[in-house]
Amino acid sequence: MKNVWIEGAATPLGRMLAEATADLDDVERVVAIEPEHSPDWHPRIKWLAHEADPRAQFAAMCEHEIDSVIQCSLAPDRMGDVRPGAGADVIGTMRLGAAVAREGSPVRSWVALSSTGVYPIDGGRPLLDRETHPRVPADDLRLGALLEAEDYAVDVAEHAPYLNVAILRLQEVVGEGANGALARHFGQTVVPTVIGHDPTLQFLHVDDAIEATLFAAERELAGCYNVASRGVMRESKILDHCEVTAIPSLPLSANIFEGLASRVGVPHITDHNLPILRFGHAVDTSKLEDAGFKPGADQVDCAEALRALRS
Amino acid sequence: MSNSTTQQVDRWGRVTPGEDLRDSIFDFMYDKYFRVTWEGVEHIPKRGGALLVGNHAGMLPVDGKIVQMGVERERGRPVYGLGFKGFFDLPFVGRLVERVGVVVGHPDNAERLLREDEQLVMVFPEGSKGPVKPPSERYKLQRFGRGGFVETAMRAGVPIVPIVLVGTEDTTPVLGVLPSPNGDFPVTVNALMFGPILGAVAQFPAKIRVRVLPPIEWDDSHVPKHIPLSILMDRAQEVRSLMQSELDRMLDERDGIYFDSSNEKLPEESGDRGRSRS
Repeated sequence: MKNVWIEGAATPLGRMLAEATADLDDVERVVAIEPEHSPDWHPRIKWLAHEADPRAQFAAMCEHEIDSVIQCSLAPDRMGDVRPGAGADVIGTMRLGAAVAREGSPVRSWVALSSTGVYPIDGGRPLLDRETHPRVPADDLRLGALLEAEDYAVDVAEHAPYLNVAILRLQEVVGEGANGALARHFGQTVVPTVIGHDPTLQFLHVDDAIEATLFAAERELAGCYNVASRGVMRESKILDHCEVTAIPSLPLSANIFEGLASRVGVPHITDHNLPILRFGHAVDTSKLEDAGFKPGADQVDCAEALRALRS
Repeated sequence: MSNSTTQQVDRWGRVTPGEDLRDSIFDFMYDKYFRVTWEGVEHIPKRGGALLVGNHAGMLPVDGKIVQMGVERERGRPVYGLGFKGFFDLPFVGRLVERVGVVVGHPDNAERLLREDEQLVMVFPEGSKGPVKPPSERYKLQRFGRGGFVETAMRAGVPIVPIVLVGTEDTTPVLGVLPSPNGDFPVTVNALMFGPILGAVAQFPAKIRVRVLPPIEWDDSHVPKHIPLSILMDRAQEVRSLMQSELDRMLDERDGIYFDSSNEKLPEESGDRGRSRS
């Protein structure tokens, strides 16, 4: 990994990834793709505006001799993106795929950061979802775009055998600077819980998210991997740890007034978080661990990060 | 970053039994009300995973809890159960069953508990057909499903330990079965005496005897990705026949439903089965 291209560097996690990559000794150049230039960035990070034409992207990759691509735009909520309704960038993924797989491309590794939200969540699920488990139905309105984008990356991998494509399915991210949708739920003044449920939850500490991504790019991993910090934790334990006031509520969708509630700061459960807070969700990370990656944080560390988010 | 966790429940949501009121009630029911006795408990391994297979009965089946308590007392090991996934959709109910060690009945969970966590897992292959059967089928084992429990044990590479319970069917004697659109519904003596709600909970104090049979292991050097159904059905039938024979033997030995003293003679008669009383 010498010259790294980071797509979606405008997201909180993308920005942290770009900076962490630039700090690596063996990395010569980081090219960060984002809509607006940030002049105060790390001196080894070169900013490039997002280019819609894959041929222009390919030309830029050749010019900068890019060997690794990290894509942070597949699952915005896992990148700490707080834009309402931000969905997976399918067209962006197709353009990126077309550029990296083009004949003569210098790229050898493409790491696409996806989400564990691709697994269905209901009362009949196993404790830990594996990478081989079925994903949500493709017609799922909320996640359909993410599935399509993942499928496109897999398709590129099949047709470009010289290119190592790794899809990292990130668990709910928590940590200073990049909190995902579930972490933000626990950051509310009072935290609504679903009455009668105490789900098993699992977070990914932002430090582990960065380390796992760099690990996948450096090792040129191929295939699909779940990423989470060690262990699982019950919601009640997290609430105890964070010393928050919880209000049990009915499992009703807040979809209609979600935008308004967010703006005025009324505690509520978003549609994204509702199934997680009813049935819980956790993933099996043994595949990535077998590849050699050991998470540095456990769920207590993640709960600590949630507490810090509140203070 | 710290590596310690202070969780009092395990990752499956099971709470270690303590000294609270709920445990005191269970202890009373086990020791004084049902006067549970065990034989052959040494067949339950002290270490490693094993799939415990039992016969199912009772309107509010107590068999799972009895096996769980007995194994915890006699072998010092927790027993997990695989439960109907519909329980876990329901508020409070899912939480309650998790706390006593019931996990979602998913093959992945079973394999993880048995192979990875090396735990004891209890299953009742008769499913809901066990408790809901006509009086003519009393103490007759119903079909053992599609042999899924055999596949689970084969994939996890663990033995099957059959456990036969006598007395559980007498805690809620079934008088007849009413067909309904959602499946058959048993009419019990308890329901006629105490009404439909209390009758579903109130149990007669039948003496419950539990006998553990030697573990069954098959010599499978390689388990194929798709195990032929014929193998699963044959093996399931083998386990079922063994349990039915033992069930018949235990019924022959029994002196009475409520005051059974047959187990007093067992140390000499039961040979290598061994015996342990709780």
